[in-house]
Amino acid sequence: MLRNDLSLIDAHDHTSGKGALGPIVRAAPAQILAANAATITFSNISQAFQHLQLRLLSRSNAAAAVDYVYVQFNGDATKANYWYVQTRSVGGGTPTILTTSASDLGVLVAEVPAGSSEANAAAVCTVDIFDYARTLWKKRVQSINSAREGSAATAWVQNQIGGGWLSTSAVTSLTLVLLTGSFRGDTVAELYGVP
Amino acid sequence: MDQKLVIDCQTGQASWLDLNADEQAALLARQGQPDPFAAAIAAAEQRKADLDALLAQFRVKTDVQAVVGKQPS
Repeated sequence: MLRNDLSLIDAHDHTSGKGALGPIVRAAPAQILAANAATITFSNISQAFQHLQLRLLSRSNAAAAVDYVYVQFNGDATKANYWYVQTRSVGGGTPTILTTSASDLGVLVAEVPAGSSEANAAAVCTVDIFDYARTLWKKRVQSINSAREGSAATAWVQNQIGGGWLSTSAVTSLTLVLLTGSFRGDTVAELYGVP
Repeated sequence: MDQKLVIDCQTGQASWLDLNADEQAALLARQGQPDPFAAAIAAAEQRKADLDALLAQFRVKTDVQAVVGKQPS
């Protein structure tokens, strides 16, 4: 009886390890950028996990108050293949739902401080990429992001973003790209595999 | 020349590479372009302000009608 209960909980593919009980692990060594980078690419991603999770702490060097991070899948730069919808909240304000959109840069995942923002302020985001290795579903992304772009409460931003890549292909590479600038040195970028 | 970082998840090796000509041109083209979200954010905030103003008018109307004993129309 106990074995039956456990088999229900641990209903994973024992051959691939997907769905196994266990901790999430790094899919690549953590990166703390030694210099500015125009893009950050995780290539040759293992297909052994069920899901991926990307964690980013960053800031842009663009000559502006704010910049935007996108994730591109397998190098696909076709605008029609991406979509996202964003709920944006600021301190003291009511959340605004921005219209669905698309970009040839990929799926929007974060808003980050840039050159004219408060010094040493960075944004963080956690991006989940679901069932990335199987070829049944079009790929889905969900991101939680917060950023402090200035001293006023209205410059404290939180975004909840859902989106995806309209392809059933297995994800083998992810490229992070900013709308206008480069990722500042000391950016922390990590890719995890979820069993 | 700007650089990009590529991390090979199989070997764990991180490589700094120069952008190729197309990538460099795309980066330069993106720099300095207006914030594409500014208009959408401003429009959303204006819609909220309009709704708040409408709600405030409704509240005044129902308050007055309550005083004179009439039902809101």
